[in-house]
Amino acid sequence: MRSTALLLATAKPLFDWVGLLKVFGISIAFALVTVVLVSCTVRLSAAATSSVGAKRFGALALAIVFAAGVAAIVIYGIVIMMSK
Amino acid sequence: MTNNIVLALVVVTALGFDFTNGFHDTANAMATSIATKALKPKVAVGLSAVLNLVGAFLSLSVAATIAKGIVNADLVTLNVVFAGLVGAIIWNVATWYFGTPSSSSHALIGGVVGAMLVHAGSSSIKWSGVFGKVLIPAVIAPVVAAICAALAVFVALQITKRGEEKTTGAGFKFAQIGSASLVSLAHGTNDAQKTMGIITLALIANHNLGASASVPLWVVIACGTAIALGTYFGGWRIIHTIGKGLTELNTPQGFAAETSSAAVLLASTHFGVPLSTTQVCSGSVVGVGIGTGNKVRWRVFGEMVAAWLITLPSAGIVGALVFWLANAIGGSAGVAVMLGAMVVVCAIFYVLSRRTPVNADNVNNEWGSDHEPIEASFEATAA
Repeated sequence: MRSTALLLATAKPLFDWVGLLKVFGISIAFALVTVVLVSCTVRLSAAATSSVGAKRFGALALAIVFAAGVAAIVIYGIVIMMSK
Repeated sequence: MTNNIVLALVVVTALGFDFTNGFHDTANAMATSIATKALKPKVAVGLSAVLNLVGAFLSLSVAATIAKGIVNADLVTLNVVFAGLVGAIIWNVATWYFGTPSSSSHALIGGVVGAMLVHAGSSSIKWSGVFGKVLIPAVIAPVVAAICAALAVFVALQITKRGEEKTTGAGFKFAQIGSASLVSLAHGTNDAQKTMGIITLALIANHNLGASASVPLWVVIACGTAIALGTYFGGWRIIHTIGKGLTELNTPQGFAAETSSAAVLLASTHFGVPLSTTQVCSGSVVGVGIGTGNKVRWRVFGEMVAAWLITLPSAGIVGALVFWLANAIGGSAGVAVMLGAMVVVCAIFYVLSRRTPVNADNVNNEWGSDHEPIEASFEATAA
């Protein structure tokens, strides 16, 4: 009984469930952050085209900041590919 | 001399596999961009081809050894590799004919496992590896991607629901091209390397390279070119299934699907969890359908899942048969005859596909319209 329990405890699992949980969590986090940044960029760009003056400038500036965030994520993705 | 001929045939077959891998997997990255008209079909496959080629050069740390952890690597011979490749190519071409996306890597593993069973018996197979690296991921990958994509599309639509549809649509179209490009690049990096690994191992096994040799430049160029050419030819039948068969897509959904696919693929690469690009991308498309409350054609998705589950045994049966026949004929003649037989089988599928052609001109036809090759093919088979 004890040896069976020991065997079960030391047996290598068929699948890396912990790794999968990490993939699941990180994927959702990255996808949501990217989607939020892109959606805000799109929304702010649309707002900028229909606004004038300081409001237009503010929307455009924010859109550029969000777009820079997206670019940073894309570059990080390429770094992950290259470092594999 | 005989060994050199076999080696040359293995290299040619490996490049053929790389080509089928390219045209089979074009859909993963570009089906949604084509379906939402973010890109014209020819432009989409052209862009994907270039990015696959670039991806092949992006990382050269060829760790992707064939069927690592699944078969006893010491017992793998050139003939086993050849038979495995033939099994994978025939499975890829058959699933392309039916418009069914399936994993080329799983097909290759299946082919090698089948050939190894004939070559060295079941003790040469690490069955835990088969379950852990192929069967369990085949079930889990689409679920993970679907949940991720459902959340992503919900968030995207909530943020932009007050915006003018025309303006936001244009913005998402641009973003979708970016996310699809990232998936193409990841595909080139991952899948071209697998073929590089196969050819390098064959060269090492034949003593043309030292055991610690790096990948020769001609192998990198040949593999990158083969996968890019395959991608450019475009597996239009599969693009039609993913883009039009699973659910209705517009630009925010296409963007959310591709972004989720890219996130899951990059995370799985980073943590070393083997998830198939095909299964992730198909799951993402289903996920955006669920996330927006659109109709999902579960029958089409069910057929895909069934194909994923039988990929390994089907390619395995072909791999086993090819290995047995090649050995029965013997020497390089056996390998050459089997290569010829494979070309004939592929040609038959190609000729059959001309009856209901799907190409850049009709790939965006509505699902169930006159150019509906997949349903028609399945119904014909059932009848």
